[in-house]
Amino acid sequence: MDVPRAIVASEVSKSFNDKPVLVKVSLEVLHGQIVGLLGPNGAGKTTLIKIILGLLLADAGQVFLRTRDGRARVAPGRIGVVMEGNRNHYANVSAMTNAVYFSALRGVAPRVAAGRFRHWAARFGLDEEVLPQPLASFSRGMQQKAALATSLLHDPDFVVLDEPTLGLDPGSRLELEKIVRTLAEDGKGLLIASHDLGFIQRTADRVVFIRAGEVVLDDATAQLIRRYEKPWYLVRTAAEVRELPPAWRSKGRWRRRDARTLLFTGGWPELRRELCAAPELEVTAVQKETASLEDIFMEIQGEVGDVDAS
Amino acid sequence: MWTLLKAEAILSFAQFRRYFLNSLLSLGIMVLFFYGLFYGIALFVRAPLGGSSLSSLVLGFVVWTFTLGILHGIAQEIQTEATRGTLEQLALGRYRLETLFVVRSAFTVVVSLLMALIIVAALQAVTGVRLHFNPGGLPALLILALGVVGLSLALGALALYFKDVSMLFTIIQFGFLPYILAAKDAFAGQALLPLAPALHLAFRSFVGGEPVTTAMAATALLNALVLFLAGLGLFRWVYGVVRRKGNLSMY
Repeated sequence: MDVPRAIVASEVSKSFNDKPVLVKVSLEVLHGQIVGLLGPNGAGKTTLIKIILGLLLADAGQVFLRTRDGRARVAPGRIGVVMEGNRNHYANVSAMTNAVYFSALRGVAPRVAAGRFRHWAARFGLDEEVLPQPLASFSRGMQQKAALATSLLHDPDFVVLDEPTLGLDPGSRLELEKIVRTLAEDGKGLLIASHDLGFIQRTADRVVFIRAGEVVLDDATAQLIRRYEKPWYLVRTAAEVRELPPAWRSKGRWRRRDARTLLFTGGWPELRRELCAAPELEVTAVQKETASLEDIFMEIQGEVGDVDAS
Repeated sequence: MWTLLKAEAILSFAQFRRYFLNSLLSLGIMVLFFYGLFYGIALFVRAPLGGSSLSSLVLGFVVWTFTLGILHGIAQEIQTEATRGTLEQLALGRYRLETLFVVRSAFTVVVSLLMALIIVAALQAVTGVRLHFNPGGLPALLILALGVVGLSLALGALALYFKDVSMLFTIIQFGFLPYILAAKDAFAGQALLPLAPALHLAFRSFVGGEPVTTAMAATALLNALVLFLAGLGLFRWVYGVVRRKGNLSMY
């Protein structure tokens, strides 16, 4: 049996002041699937999300949201949403009041919402004692956890998260990974826009890359990694490499991993030629490297040293 | 809708507690204002306390508070929510944006009316002054509320599009009190002015004077209904426009 489609965006276009922001963008999210939406700043990710959520109207194209049983119309308030940044709550009142209020807007009775919020807050590592405190007294990461927990209280059909890992510590990020997988296993469709490529690589079943308002890549994550797998090499050096040696001819293939590690995205003969051309560089190790989503992102971007990922 | 009302009550109470001193001071200002009304009229008109003039004045103030409360409510809330950045989260709920703001604004006004009622009752007990209000005037107040909500939605639409319309509030605030008091009496062309028939009906029903006729009530209802539908239509149209322009949250 076919898995029902949760979100269908078909040839969506949008311009602001005659400047195209989205050009015939199509995207699908199945129920039970996690789709990562990637792209550099200003690529059109948030615009697409807002069109999907109905906060913005497209100039052309259509968006359908369907329930698991295939009903074409989804009742308003059946989507769990965490918007990017600090736009999900009232900072001057408590986390609990926020949770109860925003869940009530989605039809959950206050008493039920309060119970569910305690459960989800605990899963995100928020102590029960902090829940009655104003959100303004929370750290950025704690506010994000409260927003994430609140977005799930009405048991939404779909979940749309814009930069969900913003401000989260590594432990909470891992917990969020588990939670999004559990939500997908429960049959919910998840669309996650993020610059946290590691998070997307570990969680998303499919990845959609947007660049300058156009979908440039849409594939299953595992398949994408396999497709982009190349005989890439990590080159470790004894000293920090501040500038690439002038003798190197394939500068576009070099990326900096850390102070003493470079990634070469080409074949062995090419790498050997480069290393021989720069004898002043003291290489301590050369090892094969498989592609990561970050490398693919950079490959698509075609730019060196401009990784827009946290 | 009951859930929404409960949620608004929870949010209001949380904000009342958060800014306790300010909330208390606003209550104090209301007490002082009514105290001023009760004794001020005696001082200025050199007449004993009470009577229909004081009743009219107190009613005038209550209607002014009630009308301005609803009128400002929606537009001001839209501005505040948009500046906070939470307007989009509100738009993602199961209720239409205009429904949510009407309920929120009505809730605030009902609470302030109840407070006004308690204060007036307490002052009557303290001063021994008796105000003459006919409780049968409540339907007139509801008709008035319908029209005011329409105007408020129109102001809300302006706030959605132009983002900051706070100066408009100031103009309305100053112009509205004489407008309310002028509408107390019948005059030619009153039926065509926004809210005027409902204001006239409210004064007639609460304070007395010439009897309320069916034609008077029907005119007030029609005027309020037209205002409400026009305000609702404008709000929905402008909401579509800002969603097309993409500036729902850009403040």
